[in-house]
Amino acid sequence: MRTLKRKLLGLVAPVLLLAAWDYVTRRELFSPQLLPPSEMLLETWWDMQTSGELALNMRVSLCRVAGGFALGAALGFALGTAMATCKAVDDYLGPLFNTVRQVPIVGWLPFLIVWLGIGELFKVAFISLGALIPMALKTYEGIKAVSPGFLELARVFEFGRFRQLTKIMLPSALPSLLIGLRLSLSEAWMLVVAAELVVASVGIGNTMTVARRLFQTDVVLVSVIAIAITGYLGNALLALLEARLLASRRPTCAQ
Amino acid sequence: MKKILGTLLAVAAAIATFGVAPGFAADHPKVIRIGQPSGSYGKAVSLGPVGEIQVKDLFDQEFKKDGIKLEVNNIKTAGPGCNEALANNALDFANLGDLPAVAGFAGGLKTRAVAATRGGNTYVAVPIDSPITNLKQLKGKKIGVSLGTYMHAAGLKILADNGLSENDVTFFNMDNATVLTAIAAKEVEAAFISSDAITLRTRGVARVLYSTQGKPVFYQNAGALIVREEFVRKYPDIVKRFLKVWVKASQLHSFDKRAAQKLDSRVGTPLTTLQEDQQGQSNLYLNSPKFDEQWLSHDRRSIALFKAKRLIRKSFDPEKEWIDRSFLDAALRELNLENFWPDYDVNGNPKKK
Repeated sequence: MRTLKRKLLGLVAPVLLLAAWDYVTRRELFSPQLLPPSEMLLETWWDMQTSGELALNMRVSLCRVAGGFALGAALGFALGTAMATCKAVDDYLGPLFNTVRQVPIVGWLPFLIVWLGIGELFKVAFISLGALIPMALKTYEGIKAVSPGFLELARVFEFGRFRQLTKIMLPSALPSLLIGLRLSLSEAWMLVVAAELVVASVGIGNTMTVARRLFQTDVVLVSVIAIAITGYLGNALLALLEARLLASRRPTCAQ
Repeated sequence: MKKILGTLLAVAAAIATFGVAPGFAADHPKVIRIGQPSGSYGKAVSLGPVGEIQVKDLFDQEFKKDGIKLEVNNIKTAGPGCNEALANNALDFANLGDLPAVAGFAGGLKTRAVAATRGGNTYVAVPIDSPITNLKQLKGKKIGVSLGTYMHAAGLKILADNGLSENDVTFFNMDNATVLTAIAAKEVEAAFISSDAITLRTRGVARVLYSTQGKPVFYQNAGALIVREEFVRKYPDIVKRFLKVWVKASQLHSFDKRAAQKLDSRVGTPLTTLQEDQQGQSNLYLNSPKFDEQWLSHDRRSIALFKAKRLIRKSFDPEKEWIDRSFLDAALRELNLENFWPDYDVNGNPKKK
C-alpha cells in the first residue's frame, strides 16, 4: 500500500506539467510551432506509430545502444577490475584513465568521425566509450571498497587470485557494479541520440534531425518523449534486476 | 488669448492634416530583418535581389527617411534555419527555396508568399575516383545533402526518375559547406548539391554525374520571398514599400546576365561556375518575381510530391491559402513594370499574348 502511494506521488509532477502545458497551448501563449498542443502530439504519435516510422527508428537506435552498451560495459568492467586488483595496471593506466574521463564524450565526436567515418562503427565506438567510463569507475570503486576482513578470510582459505575475485571481491562489489551498469546504460542511451543528431540516416536522433529540417516540431517533441520513456523503462528494467540480485544475496549474508 | 486660440487651431489643423502624427513612430518597425540561406563560403554578402539591394543602396533610398534599417541575416542552416528564426519572430522576411517555404507553411508557420523566386540547378556529384557511372547505381549508397532544402527536393525527383526512392539510399544531413568537404574526403559516395559541383569538378576532387541543367524547369528550384503574417497585418504599408524595393532589385538583376553573375560571385562562387550553371537560361526568367503559371504549377506539383513523400503532413492550396499578390501587383503597377517580365508557361517558356 505504501509503495503504491509512493509510486503515485511520482505521477504528480508529470500531471501538473501536462496541465500547465495544456493551459499554455489552449491560451495560445506560445505559437503551436514552438509548443505543439497535446492533442496534436497524440495525433502525430499515432501517425508515427501506425506508419511504422517510430518503431523502425527506435529499433535501429536500440540496436546501436545494445552494441555500444555491451561492448562499453564489458570493457569498462574489465578495465575497472584490472585497475582495482593489479597495482601495476592501476599505476600505468590510472592517470591516463582519469585524464581521459575529464573530456566530455561529445568532445570526441570530431575525432571519432575522422578516424572511423560516419557509419555504424563510429556510432558504436562513440557509445561504448561513453558506457565504458562509468562502468570502469564503479567497478574500481566497488572492488576497492571490499572490506579488508573478507580479503583476510580469503588468505586464510588460501584462495587463488581468480577465486578471490569471483568468490569475494565481485559479490561484495555487486551493488556498486549494478550502479555502474545503470549509469552506463543511461549514458549509452543519451549518446546514441547525440551521435544520430550529428550524422545518421536512420534512428530516433535522425528522425529528430529530419523533422527539424522540415519544420515538424510536433515530430521532434514526440521523439523526445519516446526517448525519455524508453530511457526510463531501460532504467526500470535494470532496477528490477538489481532488486532481484541483491534480494537473493541478502540471506547469504545473514547466515 | 487670440494668439493661444490661433496656436491651438494650428495644432488642430496639423493633427488633422498629418493624422496620427505622434503615432508615426509605432507605425513602422525600426529594422526590417530578412533571412537568406548563406552560401557554402560563409561570406556575409548575398546574391540575387538581396545582393542588388545591398550594392545599389536600394533599401536606404526608400526607407532612410523613416530611419528604418535593413538587417540581412545569412543563415548557415539555410532555409530550414530561416523557418526556425521566423517561428520565434527573429526574422520578418525570408528568401526561401521551394521545400523550406512549403514545409514551413505546412508545418503551421504563419507566412505569406509575396514574390516568386526561381532558378537553381541541382547536381549529383561523386568523388573523382568513384566507380559510379549512372544514377541507378546510387542504390544503397551514402548520399550527403542539406536536408529540407530545394536540393533535397530535386534529389527525390531525380531518384524517382531512376526507379529509386529515398529508402533505397542513405541520406546524410550536412550543411552546404560540409557536403563539399565530405565529397572531397570521400566520406559520402555521392552528394546532391548546387552549382558548387562545378567548382569541385574544376578543383579536380569530384565528378558531375548528373545535373538538372537543360531539364524541364520543374527540376529546378521555385521558391518565394515570404513574410510573417503578423508583420503583414501590423505594417501592410511597409510590406508594400519593401516589395517595391524588391521588384526594383529584381529588375536590376534581370538586365545584364554577366553583370548579375558578377554580383552573385561576391558570395565566393567563381564567376565561371555561375556562367556554366546558368548557360542557356534566360536571365529575365531567372529573376521574374511573378506568380505565373510556371511558378504555380511547380508549387502545386511540389506540394503533392512532398505530401506523398511525407516531407509535409498537411497539403494546402497555395493560391487560396498562402500567396498574397497584392503587394507585388501594386509594386509592379507603381514602377510601371507590369509587362517587364512575361508570364511563363508550365515549361518556363514565355506565353504569347
